[in-house]
Amino acid sequence: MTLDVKYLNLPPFCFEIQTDIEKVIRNLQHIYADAFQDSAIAPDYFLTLKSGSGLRKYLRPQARFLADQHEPFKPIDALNGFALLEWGMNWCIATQEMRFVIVHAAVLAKDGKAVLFPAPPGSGKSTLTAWLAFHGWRLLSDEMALIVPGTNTVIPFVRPICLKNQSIHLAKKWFPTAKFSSIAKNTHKGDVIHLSPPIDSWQQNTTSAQIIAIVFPRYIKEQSLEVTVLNQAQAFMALAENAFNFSLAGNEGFQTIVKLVETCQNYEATYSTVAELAEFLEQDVLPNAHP
Amino acid sequence: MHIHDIIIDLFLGKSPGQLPLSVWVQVIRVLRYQQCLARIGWRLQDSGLATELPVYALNHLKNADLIAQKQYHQVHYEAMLLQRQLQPLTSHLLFLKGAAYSLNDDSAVGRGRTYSDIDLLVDRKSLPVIEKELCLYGFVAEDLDEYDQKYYREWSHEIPPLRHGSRGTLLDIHHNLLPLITGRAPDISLFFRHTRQTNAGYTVFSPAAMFLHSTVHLILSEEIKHGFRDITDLYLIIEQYQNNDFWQELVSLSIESGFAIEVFLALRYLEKILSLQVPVAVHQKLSTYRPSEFRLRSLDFIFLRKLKPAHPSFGNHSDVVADWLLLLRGHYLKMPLHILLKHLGRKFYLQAVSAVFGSNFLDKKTENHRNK
Amino acid sequence: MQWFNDIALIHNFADHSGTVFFDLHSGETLALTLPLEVILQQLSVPDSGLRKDEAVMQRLKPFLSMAAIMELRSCHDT
Repeated sequence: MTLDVKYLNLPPFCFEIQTDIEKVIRNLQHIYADAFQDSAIAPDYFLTLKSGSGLRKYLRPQARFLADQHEPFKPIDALNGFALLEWGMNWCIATQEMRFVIVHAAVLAKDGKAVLFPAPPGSGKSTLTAWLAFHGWRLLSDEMALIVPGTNTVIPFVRPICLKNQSIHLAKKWFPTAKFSSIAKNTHKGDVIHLSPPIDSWQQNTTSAQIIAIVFPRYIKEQSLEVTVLNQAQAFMALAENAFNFSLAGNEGFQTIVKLVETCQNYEATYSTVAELAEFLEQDVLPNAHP
Repeated sequence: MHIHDIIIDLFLGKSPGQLPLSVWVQVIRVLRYQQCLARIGWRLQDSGLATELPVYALNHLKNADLIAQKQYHQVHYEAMLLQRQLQPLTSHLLFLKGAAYSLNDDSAVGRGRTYSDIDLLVDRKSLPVIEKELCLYGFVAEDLDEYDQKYYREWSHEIPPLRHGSRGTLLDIHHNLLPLITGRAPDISLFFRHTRQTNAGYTVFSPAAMFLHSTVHLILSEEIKHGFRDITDLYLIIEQYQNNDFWQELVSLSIESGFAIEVFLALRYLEKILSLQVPVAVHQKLSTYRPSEFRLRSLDFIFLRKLKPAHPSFGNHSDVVADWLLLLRGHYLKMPLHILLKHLGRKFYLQAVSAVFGSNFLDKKTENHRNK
Repeated sequence: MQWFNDIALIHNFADHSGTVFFDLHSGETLALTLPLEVILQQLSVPDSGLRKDEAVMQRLKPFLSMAAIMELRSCHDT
């Protein structure tokens, strides 16, 4: 198959995607629907997801990701091509888009107020994100919060939610009619699936929001909800450890993060029932937001 | 108008008129590949053309500018560490190429410049102790196979590039401008007389020596990936530093060190591609070093292609031919013939294996690496 | 005495929970749970708790000015 050229219109960016892998195209159509297009005026980045070269192509098919001639990752099993493309898009934005202050966190909003959820892998963040997105919260981003420098304003970059291992079965049980990608098995992150958020997240993908709280979630089995208020130094250190790469930040990035922890409510929350945490957010956090 | 000409006009501060958005997309893409986005950004600001740009272009130029700023901070940090660690071990410690551009005070060529490694020039006899010292600070020879290590140490008498374990910085340590094996390495003590100190105390080449060094590397390359960046580097050095002293120093140093032909060629391409005005006196002094018409035609074929703002996706057959000629020429110029044949033989072998088994077959780090 | 160098960006948190230092060149950050006024005060006292904490002083070193380093060294030697 020759390389097919398509476009993903994902505000604030547009990607050109060239691929010769049928399965990747099917996943793109299913997950992205109208955002997956045949033409675009001004793509920002030119990505390629193609089959590996040489004899290998027939023995153990591989998928390679390239960002305009540059290949940042090793190839993976072609069956997992869609997951590689998703990671590739994250990599592209994280390494190129310096005009935003990027925090590695999920960000969701309700009533125009956004909460940032920075969390290392294994904290159950994606399961939380999925649950909130389908229970009245709008998804702005699952992995990368794009913050306008010098402000608390977060710009949506709506993409599917990346779920791993046990979360996959949970999410399929909770949302049987939702749009899931095919499962990528045995990746370096384990089994991975991508879940498209509800239609209203897509429809509001150009509406920004103000971050009013930072919540560090930690899933612990059979743990009833426990919330700790963090002081500003603690919140900053927690962000610096997990969610923000200061070696890439300039003065502006530093000042933005500092202002963020000073103007937000900052919490650490350990939980096992997502609904309990959601209730805390809706009843205690959102109403206390400073205007 | 061809995309090459549009980009050259933008660099030189000439308005290309109203361009459709699709053309801007191409311009940005080519410039990003050539690693010239940040450079074009400030050139457009300085020439006043930035006000005519669409938001699409402004966004990407801003990103490039911010990335370059971060690299600028990083190189200053690395330079400070390296100076502190290595100065006691060698009587000469110079920063070269990209790092030198950035460390140089207020240099136009350093503005918006990005680079992938840091090049240093030290005393030859200090190489072993420097390599040992750098190892203590976390710098390790890149993961090369035995053949490549042998090439570096026995044939080239160089240290292979060293990478820092956690910061990822790549360090290339030299004791001359070119590997001795090429037979063209000059008497380096000549070049040590053409240096200057930056305000922060780093030693770099004088502008004329810097121009000469960059010229030598460009014209003797076996592979040119960022030709437009390389030729605009040279343009910016001349634009900022040219005066009678500069030209005198450049001409005499190039003749003394045996690189007059290379300088002749660099100036030729600066004139042809970027319309640089070279003083008549300089032309006269270098005219005896002009290659034969026949040679000039093949050199022009290669360099007029490789130094223009090109992108592999927009290339054609001639560009592929130019790449091959450059490869052959570059290798031929830098190696004695019997070693060249061995080396080329191996390179062809590697390419053949890649074609059959897939290009990642030979990657040491992949799970399926097999012993050759 | 200017204790910190020009590359160090410093922020004293509004809730007095601590101070963070950011090295613009290397990207290193250091957060201390002391407000800036307390840090400055403790630095000027040779046998303060902060000065005696070797581990913290070592981490603070990249952010110190040349004058500060000299001052600390001379006290150390006496």
